[in-house]
Amino acid sequence: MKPPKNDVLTLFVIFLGIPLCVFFLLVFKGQGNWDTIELLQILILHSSLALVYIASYPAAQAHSPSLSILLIIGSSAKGHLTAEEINRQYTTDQTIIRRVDELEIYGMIEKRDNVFILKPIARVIIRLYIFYRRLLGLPPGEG
Amino acid sequence: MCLARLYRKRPVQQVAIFAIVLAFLCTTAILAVFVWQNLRLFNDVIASVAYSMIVYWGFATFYFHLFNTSETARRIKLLYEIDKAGSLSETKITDMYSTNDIVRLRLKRLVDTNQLRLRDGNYSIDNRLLYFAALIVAFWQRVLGMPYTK
Repeated sequence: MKPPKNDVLTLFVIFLGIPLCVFFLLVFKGQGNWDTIELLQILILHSSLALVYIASYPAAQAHSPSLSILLIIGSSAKGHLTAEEINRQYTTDQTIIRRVDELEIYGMIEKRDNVFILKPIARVIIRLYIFYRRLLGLPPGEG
Repeated sequence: MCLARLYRKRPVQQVAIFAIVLAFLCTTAILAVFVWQNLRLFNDVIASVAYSMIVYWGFATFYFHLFNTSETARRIKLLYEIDKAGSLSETKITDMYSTNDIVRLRLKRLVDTNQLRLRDGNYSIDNRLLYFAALIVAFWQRVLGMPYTK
């Protein structure tokens, strides 16, 4: 089975959207043996585990270069590699172009007259990230 | 916030983990004094401790990934660069953010956090913790049917 195009959104719907709907349905329509506090505890427990899965998913989906560098070195015959040998394993298409394509698929950027511009949602997200990093006294991440 | 400003010279991921552990100790102390001490049944204490631990470490792991994303994610970096410039062509993106930069930054981070050892220009695995995490992620990619690409 092929994974959905916008896989992160799909994860949010499956792991958070649907459970939230079930939670509100149970609260408003009668919940059997559970009171609202117990249902809230279940929802919090579920959300914490769901968020762990959703947050760790990009490492697998976007093929984290840090993790793949470790795998490349770990599986090399000599057990060690130079920076150049590691560099040769990657192409611009793998490291950047695919990420740009994904941002387009996720509806974060759009191509107009051969240049990429941010969509409003992406602008909000990136400004939040910058604000958060400023709170920590850090410059924008290096990527 | 204070820790990030206090330990500016340390690798930021290490500071984030330190902050999470410190917050864990504070949370545990508060729960022990105000909640667990007042529970009468031993089973209730065990259930409450287990619940709190799972929920705390769940949200802590999520926070760490969120922080890590702000530091290392290529997609966030791309959004930042496009936002800063207003608009960017594909050529400009690949000019300003090259594969060399991506690999160089990661090698530096992995050495700084003792995951890799650099000796005579050669990188080898040092601490195996992240290496095992990489093996688990690679296994999970196979379970999900994701094609292996670097």
